[in-house]
Amino acid sequence: MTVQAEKLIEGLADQAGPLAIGIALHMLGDRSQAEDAVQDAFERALRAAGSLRDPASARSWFLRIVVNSCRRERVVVRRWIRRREETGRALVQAHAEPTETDPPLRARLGSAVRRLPHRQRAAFVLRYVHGLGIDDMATVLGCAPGTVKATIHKAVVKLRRELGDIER
Amino acid sequence: MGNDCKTFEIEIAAAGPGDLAAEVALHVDTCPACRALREGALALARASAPGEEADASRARAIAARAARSARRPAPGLWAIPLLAASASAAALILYFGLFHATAQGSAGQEVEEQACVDVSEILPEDRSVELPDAIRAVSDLMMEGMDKEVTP
Repeated sequence: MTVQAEKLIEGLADQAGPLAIGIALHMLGDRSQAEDAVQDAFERALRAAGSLRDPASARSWFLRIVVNSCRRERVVVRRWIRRREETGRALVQAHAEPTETDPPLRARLGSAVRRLPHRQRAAFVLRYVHGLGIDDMATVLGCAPGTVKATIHKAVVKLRRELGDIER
Repeated sequence: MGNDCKTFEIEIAAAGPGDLAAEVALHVDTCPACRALREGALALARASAPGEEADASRARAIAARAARSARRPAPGLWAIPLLAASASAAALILYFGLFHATAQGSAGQEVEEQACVDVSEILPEDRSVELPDAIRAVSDLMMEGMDKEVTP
């Protein structure tokens, strides 16, 4: 690990750190998982700092690492959750109070977003939650701007179908 | 949704909460299906607004943690001497615990056999020694046998 790499990471923590945590939080839905994913991204960025050719694109380069770390973190967490889901569901159902109201829209949306395929989830979170531009997103997701738009469209169609009452 | 919509719906979804291009906005004004898509996209954007976000100090702390973790040597380097030491310790424990104990066991057996011989030799000489009844009975029988052999 070089001094330059450490300086780069310090700069990224100030420049893109809070955004990275926000993206990871919306993609994973859990703060500690999000922080683990961001730490993993910082470690990977430290190791790969030599491969960054254009320092001006460091932010997008780092966000790309964050999105990929979220994918890895999700795979690990999903295996763990699947094993405990059945037991947890049975316990919740056994102890749940009868409720008249639906869960808040925000919670339902968060849950629906996390059920989207990885690329659609990342595209939706980057655009709708954090307002990244299409060109910036193309760098982060590693694809053409047209593909980014098509991916967002697929995510929006699925979410509207799932949350039928969102426009009311 | 008409045929024209196919060209606009991707732009409407991709715009998110942002402004639409003039041409797209014009279409949205005249097409109910595309207007519904635009309203749906805006509703999704409203419901997705970021809540409480982490501050830069939290991000700096995570980056520092990552730097500390990256400074640690890779597991392969420090694990080699550790594994070698563990293997040596295991070999020593096996040697002393298994083979050495067996050797001790056979030596102990030899001493026990010697003691048996000694007792049988001593018994006729030293009758004052306090012995359990069973051993005394055996030794008496032995003595009787010896007497018979001596007496013609």
